[in-house]
Amino acid sequence: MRAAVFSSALTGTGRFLEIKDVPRPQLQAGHVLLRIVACGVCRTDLHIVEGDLPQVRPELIPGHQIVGEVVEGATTELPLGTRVGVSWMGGVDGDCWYCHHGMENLCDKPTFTGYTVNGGYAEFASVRPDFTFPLPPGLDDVHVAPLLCAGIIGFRSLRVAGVEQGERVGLFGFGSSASLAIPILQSWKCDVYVATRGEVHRNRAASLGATWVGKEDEKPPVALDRAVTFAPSGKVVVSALSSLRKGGVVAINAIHLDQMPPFDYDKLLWGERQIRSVANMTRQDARDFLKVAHDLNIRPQVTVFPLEDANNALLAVKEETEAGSAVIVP
Amino acid sequence: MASKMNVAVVEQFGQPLVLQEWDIPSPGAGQILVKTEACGVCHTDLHAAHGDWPVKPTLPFIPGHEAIGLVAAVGSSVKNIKEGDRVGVPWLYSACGHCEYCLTAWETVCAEAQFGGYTKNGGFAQYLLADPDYVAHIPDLLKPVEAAPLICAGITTYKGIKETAAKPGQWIAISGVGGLGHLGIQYAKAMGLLVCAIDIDDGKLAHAKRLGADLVINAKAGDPAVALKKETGGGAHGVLITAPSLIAFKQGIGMTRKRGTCVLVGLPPGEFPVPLFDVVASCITIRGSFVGTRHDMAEALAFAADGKVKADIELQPLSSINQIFSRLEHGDVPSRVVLDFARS
Repeated sequence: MRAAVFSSALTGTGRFLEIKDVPRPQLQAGHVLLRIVACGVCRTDLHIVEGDLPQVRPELIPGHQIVGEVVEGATTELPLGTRVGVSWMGGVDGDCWYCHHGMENLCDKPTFTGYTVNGGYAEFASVRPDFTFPLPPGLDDVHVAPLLCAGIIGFRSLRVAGVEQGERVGLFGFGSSASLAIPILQSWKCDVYVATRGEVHRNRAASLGATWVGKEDEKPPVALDRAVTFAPSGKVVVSALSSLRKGGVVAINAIHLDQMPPFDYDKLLWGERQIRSVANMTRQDARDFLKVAHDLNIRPQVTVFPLEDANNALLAVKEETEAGSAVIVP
Repeated sequence: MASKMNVAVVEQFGQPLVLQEWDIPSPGAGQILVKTEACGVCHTDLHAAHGDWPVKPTLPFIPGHEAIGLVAAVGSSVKNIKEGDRVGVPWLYSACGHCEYCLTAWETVCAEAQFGGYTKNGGFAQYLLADPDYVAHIPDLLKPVEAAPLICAGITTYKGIKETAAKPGQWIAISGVGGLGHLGIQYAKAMGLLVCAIDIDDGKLAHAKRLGADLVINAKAGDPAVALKKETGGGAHGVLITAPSLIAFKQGIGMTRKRGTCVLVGLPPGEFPVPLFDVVASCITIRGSFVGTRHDMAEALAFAADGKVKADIELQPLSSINQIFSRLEHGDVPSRVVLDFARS
């Protein structure tokens, strides 16, 4: 099959991925084999191929927002041809302290799709059936793909931030994930404040109905109850923190931050403000989000790239040239 | 200012109220005098006049705890309120301000709390005294007759909904589409919840739909818990019982999703049996909720000022109070009756 493959051999070539023929994956015991129809591109993929995250496999097919159809290993629950989604959490051990406490997102022995195992920048993938999700029927493949990580983890970020109905919520850094959070916050009757670099993102936020939109160093006009940061930058976390009311919470939706700059504890954190990180997702987050996405008719804006153009898809995410989400189609 | 005022007084429990002229009280230190513009009539007023509850008011007394009016005079040492402000004098007339409940924003259960129209004379009168620290501040956009039902029926349902802990996007079941329920539906929608309204009257259910209910169930057509569990995939995350009927309490527990919370705000006299197996095996919380704090009050009024909640009201003069009570007793009051003091 064709696949976009990351390896350290590419260092210095200016390319992230090599598009080539690789053996089609064997169906593993207890898995299902999916024929991939679309795969969303996430900033985490960029962190992997740029070496921000440690390399765990010599050769890797990235991609963890997979939409695919069951072609082998079908079960009664997942008959042949069923369309399902696969996200970043490809599996957990089900047996550690975290799994026993409803925190499978923090599992001690997790499988991460497109990182610890091969992912969706390819024609086929072998996945755990209990980590597939039924998809809202109303959305076509390319529009459903960005929901599978950007959407779910954005949703989890709102939960981690402790957002309550009617609150003032700031979104700092604005990409695919933040744009999917806006309709949810609106359905929770929250006022949304967006601070981000890049005019294309500010325009997108404004068109989605944000109460206030500003540049990354601008401060919202009111003190916020909650903030979520989406940029891989510690500086953005500090700006979010400085926008909070006393007792407010900032949740960091990022698997990697450049660094946390020093900041003034007395002014910014004292007053029982809190900084929390968001790690991975649980299957319940996925189910809850996909239901909400269906109920609210959430339809992401997407730019489609053929698999052969996977490098350009990653480049578009890196350079923030697209307002919506990049999706790769084999 | 006149020296006399018209009032409706309970002289004997269970007897009709007596219309009298009383001297207008003058505010002492730390008190304000409010000139009533409107006062809602609540089922609680009927219980008060009948002496239905274990702790009875001292006779004679003036009922009414949904009074809205303008501050006519302020006593010495009142700083936060001035003449001409529009305030509401609610059920939570005052509290001690220093017990463990007051210090943790639960002044509603303060042991020293005083109650408007119960332990203190209330709003079935042209003037009443109030505690400036506990009055509701009425937003300019609200008319007095619109605000009146919100400071008891409104805050009670709003707080009750909060106490179910249902989150936006989750289901709340509101049992009873009456004075409380019709407000509850509007608050719940404004809070982003999915709402199922339950009643035994198709007309009220049609009204619930108009107010935004996502689902309505007629409890006469069979056990509403069965229908609701089917439609919501397991029951409502939160249930608010406003219907003053014991059967509604039992059904409400049946409607509650596993680990959900069923909140009781109605106060029909009596007790109801709890299906222990269901409550235990489904880990259900049954929670009482009693009016709301001053902060809840501000929030409840803000929803109305934003145009998201509006009470159905029927205006009557104070002199009709006994006819209104008689209709309340017979369940013949489709919407909240508000005494309009602009009428005589």
